[in-house]
Amino acid sequence: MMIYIHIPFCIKKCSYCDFCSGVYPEEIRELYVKRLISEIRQWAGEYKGRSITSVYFGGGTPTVLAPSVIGDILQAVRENYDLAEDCEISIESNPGTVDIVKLRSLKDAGFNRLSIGLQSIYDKTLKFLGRIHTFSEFEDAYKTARQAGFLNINVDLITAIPSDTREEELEGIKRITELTPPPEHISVYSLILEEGTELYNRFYGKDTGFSEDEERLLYWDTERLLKESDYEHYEISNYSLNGRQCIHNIGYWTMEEYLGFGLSAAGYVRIGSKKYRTYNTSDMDEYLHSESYKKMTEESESDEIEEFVFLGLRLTKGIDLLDFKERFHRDFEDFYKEPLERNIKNGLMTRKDNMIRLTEKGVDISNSVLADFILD
Amino acid sequence: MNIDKEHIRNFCIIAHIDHGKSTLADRMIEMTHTLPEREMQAQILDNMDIERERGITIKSQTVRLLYTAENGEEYIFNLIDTPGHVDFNYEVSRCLAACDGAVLVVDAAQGVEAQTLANVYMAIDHDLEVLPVINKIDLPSADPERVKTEIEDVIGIPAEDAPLISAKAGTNIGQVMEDIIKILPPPGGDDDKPLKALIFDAVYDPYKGVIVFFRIMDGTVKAGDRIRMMATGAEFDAVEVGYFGAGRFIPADKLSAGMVGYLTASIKDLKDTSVGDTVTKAQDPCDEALPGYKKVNPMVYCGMYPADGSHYEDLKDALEKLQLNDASLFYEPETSVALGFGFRCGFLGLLHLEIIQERLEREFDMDIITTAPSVIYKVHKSDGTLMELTNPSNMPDPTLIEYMEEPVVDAEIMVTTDYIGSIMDLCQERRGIYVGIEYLEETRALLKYVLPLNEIIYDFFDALKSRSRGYASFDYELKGYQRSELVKLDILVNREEVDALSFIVFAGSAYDRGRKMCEKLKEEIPRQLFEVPIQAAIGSKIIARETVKALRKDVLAKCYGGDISRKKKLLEKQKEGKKRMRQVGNVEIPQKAFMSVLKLEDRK
Repeated sequence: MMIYIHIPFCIKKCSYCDFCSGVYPEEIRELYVKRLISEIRQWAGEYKGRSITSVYFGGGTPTVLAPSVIGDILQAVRENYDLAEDCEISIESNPGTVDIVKLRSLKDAGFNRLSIGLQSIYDKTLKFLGRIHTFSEFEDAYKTARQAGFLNINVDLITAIPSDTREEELEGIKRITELTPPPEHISVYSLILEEGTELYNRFYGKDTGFSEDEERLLYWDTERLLKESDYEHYEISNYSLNGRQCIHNIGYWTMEEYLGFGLSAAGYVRIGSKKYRTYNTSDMDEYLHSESYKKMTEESESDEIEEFVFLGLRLTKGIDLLDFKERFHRDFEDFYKEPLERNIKNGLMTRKDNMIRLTEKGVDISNSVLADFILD
Repeated sequence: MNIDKEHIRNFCIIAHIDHGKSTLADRMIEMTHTLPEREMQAQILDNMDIERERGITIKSQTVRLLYTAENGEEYIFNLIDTPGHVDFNYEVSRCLAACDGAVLVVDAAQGVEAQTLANVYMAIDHDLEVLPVINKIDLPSADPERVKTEIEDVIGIPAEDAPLISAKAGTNIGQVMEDIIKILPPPGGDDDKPLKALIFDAVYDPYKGVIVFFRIMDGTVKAGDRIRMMATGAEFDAVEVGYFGAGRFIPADKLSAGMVGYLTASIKDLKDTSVGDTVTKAQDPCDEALPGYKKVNPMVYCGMYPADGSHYEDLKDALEKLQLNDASLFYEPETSVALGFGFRCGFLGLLHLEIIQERLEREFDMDIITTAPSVIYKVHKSDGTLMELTNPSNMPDPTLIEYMEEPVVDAEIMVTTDYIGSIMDLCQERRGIYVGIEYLEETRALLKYVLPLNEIIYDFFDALKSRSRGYASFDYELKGYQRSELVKLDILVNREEVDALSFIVFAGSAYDRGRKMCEKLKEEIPRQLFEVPIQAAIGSKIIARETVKALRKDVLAKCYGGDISRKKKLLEKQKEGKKRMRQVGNVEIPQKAFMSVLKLEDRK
């Protein structure tokens, strides 16, 4: 079982960002942390004794908070849940919000994985994206994180940005692999214009500089480049070095249970014999003051089956049909004989023994393939 | 209740579409307190949603009004509402036959229109007394004096004393009521003669069976009488007779000559009670049936398929239920390679088709694919046999065809003189044969053409409106068949023929239509994993081609913070979209593509 903790605070909203995050006054932050800690405690009873394999602080920018406050939240988790010996404890950070003191105290508090949101190596692009930091500030933060003792670092990158050329994007990725020592993990996402964001308003329906075809070429160039530097492409947008895959990330795609705490956090939990998807409110006021901040919807078996498939197929290794059978006590083909055969025939999926996965062609049009596995 | 015929008026209201027929009927119902006010809903008589939305009457409705006149006496008004569209001309003619008079509503701004004329002439043909009423006098552009002159000049009936009303505002409705008594005649007929009653409508009720609407010409009828339908020969025991409230049935002991009412007789099949048939008594039949009965036959056919193939049975049930209330709807099972199992359906016209389609969608929540509408072609084969072709896919090989015939109509188009040129161009493009032009007055003319029916069933009406900026109006009736050069145009997607997209077209228009069809399909068919050629062909000869380029990418949304709900919604939507696609060979063709043939004609 895993725990996700959402910290919705930022110094400034980025131009592409549609996550639940924003700039809030200090009083709200204080109330929020209190509320969060009480939520963490509230759910403990149900899961006492379950081994927690991953705790993930995401945002927003969790590192906006003082390290002592972050430490208090993590402490609340430790006190109320049973963290596994080798539990992955991650925190997301913005290079403009960390220094050696902060990073050291996070390390001391128990965080063993740091995710740094860089997005681009070009200052002009960082400005375009509305980031608060420069590339050299990132380089400092990265070096400092290593000094603070972080041995497992992820760097987030965005590509296919209107302000950049294809060559620039590839150069940026290459540059990250040349950091010393190179990051254990790299996430590369193509820019998506999400409704309601500044970039959406500026570019929706207009030429973003990357056509669909160019974006796909860039995607596969990215893979080639990272593979040359020994990274493993283990999930549609994620790469790891020396097997340091993100346990938390993989947990989502393999239908691990997870608790979601904080504003807008989602969860997937078993209560008694039933499974539920939980959704916390995205309304700060409601989260702080209402008792009905959490919605729960029961997960039917067919929900679980289709999610197991469409989430699992995001992993490069694909789905183990024996796992499917173990989980659902039925054969995969009982549900999906036709779409599986058709997609294999069309070269969009492949099967080797009991493993099925998307082919490169299948990844390119993944939604269209995955939609075939939604049950009637 | 013993009613003297002098105090009965059986009449209808006739008008061009939108001139205010239903609104006037509403005012009459209100004025006679036939319905409590709280039950009034705009346009009581149009009780189908579609009718109310489109402002047209599809099924005729009948209502009985009790009116206390200024002379203090009480009158019974049987208001028989008539359908307002050329598709339903036969129904209109039967309704008129049930009346003794007609109230003619003419818009004070627009004046006499094509349907006004067509309806008035039909009323005069049925020897009805016509009471003209000029409506919408409160419009700024109203010109009642001009319209009066128009009625007198164009139609040839006196209009000097026509009531000037606003049905919407309720102005001068009283005068209409009084004039109905004064000008329209009471019914004739003899109670002592054998029963002779005209069926002018019928509806299906799940509890009572078919409810027959009729007008008694002679004789009387009561519950328990053994009745006979003269055309179909079917006999039944009348269970209940009565007359109409507004939207309800009021049983009565007995109905006699001159009256309008209904009867039920546990009739299970609407086909036993054809509109236009004569009802008489089995024991004491009248000597001959009323004239004018004819069986209405569908003029336009198309394929209807469930968007989701697994809903075939649901579609069948829905069509069955619709047919209960609409005997003119025809359907029989057919199969298409592209669309699977469905039905070939026949309609009185394109409006009728659209109505059925909408009712299937709204009342039965069906998602359907409709293929291009087709008329009935007569195929004279070399072996001397004649084939009536309603489905293009069934067209015999050209080498087996001696010649073909297509249905043509006599069309009358009323248009202001400014637009005569552009309307004549339109008729020309639609292979119209010019018959003549009549100037009704200085600024308006009646154009007469013979037009092939297949040229007007798609979008002729829209084209007419856009080329006349809304000023032209149109009416037609079937004239007969004429020999014509016709070819079957096939569409090939990825080199496979898609039977549901085939249609029959005039040879001279085939290239143009084929090219447009390919262009349209190129827009509608989503990119696939490979290049998809779209071709139009006559026989083995390709006459047009477009290519759908291959698909490249898709969106890779991030599932942030474990919230998979958005991603799942996206996939569910995509899956829904896929369901609506039909697999033809390797290509998925969306539902929309099959419909696009309907909207091909942007010829300007």
